[in-house]
Amino acid sequence: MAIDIRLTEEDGGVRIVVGGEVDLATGHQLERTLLRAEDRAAAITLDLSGVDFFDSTGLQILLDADVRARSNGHRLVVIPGDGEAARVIELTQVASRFTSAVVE
Amino acid sequence: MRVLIAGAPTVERSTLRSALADAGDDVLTARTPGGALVSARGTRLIVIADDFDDGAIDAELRRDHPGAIVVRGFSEAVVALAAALRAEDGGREAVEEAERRSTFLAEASPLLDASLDLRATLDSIAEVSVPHLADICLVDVVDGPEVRRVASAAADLQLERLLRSLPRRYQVDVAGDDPVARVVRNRRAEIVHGEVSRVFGGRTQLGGHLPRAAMIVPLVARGRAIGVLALASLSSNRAFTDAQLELAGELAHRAALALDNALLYQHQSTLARVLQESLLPDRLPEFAGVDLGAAFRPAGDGAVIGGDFYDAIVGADDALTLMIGDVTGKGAGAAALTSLSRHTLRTAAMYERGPSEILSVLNRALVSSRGRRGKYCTVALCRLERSGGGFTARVSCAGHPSPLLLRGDGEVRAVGAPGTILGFVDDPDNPEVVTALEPGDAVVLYTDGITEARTRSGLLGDRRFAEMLQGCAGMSASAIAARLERAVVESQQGDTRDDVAITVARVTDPHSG
Repeated sequence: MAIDIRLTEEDGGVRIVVGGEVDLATGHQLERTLLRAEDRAAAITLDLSGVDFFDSTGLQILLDADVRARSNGHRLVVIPGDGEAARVIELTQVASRFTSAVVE
Repeated sequence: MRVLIAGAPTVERSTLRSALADAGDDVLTARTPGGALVSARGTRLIVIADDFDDGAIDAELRRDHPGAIVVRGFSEAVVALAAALRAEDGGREAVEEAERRSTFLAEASPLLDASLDLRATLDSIAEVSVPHLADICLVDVVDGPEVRRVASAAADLQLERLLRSLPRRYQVDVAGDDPVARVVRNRRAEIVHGEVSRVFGGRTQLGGHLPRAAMIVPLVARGRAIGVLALASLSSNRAFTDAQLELAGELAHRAALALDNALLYQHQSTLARVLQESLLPDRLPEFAGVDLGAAFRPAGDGAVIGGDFYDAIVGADDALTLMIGDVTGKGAGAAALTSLSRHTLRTAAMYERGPSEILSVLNRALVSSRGRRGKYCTVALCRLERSGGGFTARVSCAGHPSPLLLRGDGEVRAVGAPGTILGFVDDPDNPEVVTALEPGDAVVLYTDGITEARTRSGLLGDRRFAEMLQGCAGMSASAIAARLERAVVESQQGDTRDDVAITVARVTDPHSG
């Protein structure tokens, strides 16, 4: 079980690119990275297209991130890709219900 | 210095444990939080794996172990911290003592590794001791007056067979003069001559072999003597030296940790299982014309409570509501959410007239009780209403795979439409799909622990699951549930990553049942 998180600055914000597995053992690392990024930047792009495994742990993190973006006012863009993250987002029908997150 | 490491088995944890033990720390390990952590008194450093997502445990630990340092995550920094704490505690002396111990272990055998695998640890101890250290090695657990043999090894096969023929349980007088009772009582090792036979449960001869001397070392874990390690010599020429007694002490230390952890773990597993079972329905209701069945298998080894639930309830208007769901996370928080979800749905199902309405009640409950993190739950719900001579199935889903319909003729298709997960927005979309059911038809609700199961040829997937279901045509609801569960478990590689839950409702054929 391994996760790969890459954080880069881009104009106006931060891009977080995730690879590997997002699950009970690794999820907290992604969550910590997101929380730290939210402190620093007004816009965050979360790229999940390279994720191999994404279960309810990842979903929890994603949904909570949207709710925080709603209340904190920062911009959150989620890129599900067409792999595991996209599958879970589709099954739970949340893409069209994100308040702040724009899914590309 | 006592260190406790708690967390799921990983390479990092073993490495950290070895590093600390080699430096002389008394290292305890536990897989799960709760009882294990609270009862490890005198612990100076507590290291918790990051994957315990229960944030409250840190505060609880600091409260229960004033003076202990609690850190998360395994890394070199923890090793450095332990060294610094040790330097404060015992100084140079402790470090030198630790160095001596590790030299002995290095000489003894590379097989010695304090793993949580009880059988492997006991077997390595037996392998290392015999014949180098002794002709016979026994590991006995002592509980009050009862002594129980958990491992034995001898220098040759014939002797080993003799050992196995001895009684595996016998009684001792705890206050008496029996060497085993003495060693347990005093928590101090002894070298005995002449009364060696009593170590073997009273037999003075083992087929003509006469034990001449024995080292009896207490197995001490968390300050308590839980048994003895006995190393016996059949030769009058072999005298046990101080160095050998010291090594026996090291072996006993490893055995004690392994045994203690195994007993603790067994207790944790039992506790978790009992708790898990209270989250599931005791029995499924009776409902004329419908045969119900269910199967549930918790993730992994069942020591950590997961988040799947299922239930079936008959409402005020004589309709049967079947439900299955999955909350996010594992452990105590997830168990509480599972309980909330299941009971809210049950209550709503007794009064609400439609599946979407039932889901909306749970959604409101979850949204209104969100904390720093949201409370999310996926659910598939099927309401069976009597209609004419048969039944109508009204299905509504929330972020959950659609139930499957198995027709009497073996045809399998999904019934239901995708819907929004509950707990996220105030107004989720959970459309209803209506299907007429005929005698022999079965509706199968399931959680994704099944389709996500890892098999030799990749994830199990929807197609293979549907094929397994096709093979159940004509079976009763219980038989279908049991067969599917077994098929998933058999095709799986390794421990289940997620809970597996299946609920089946089959319309009985008034003619054939």
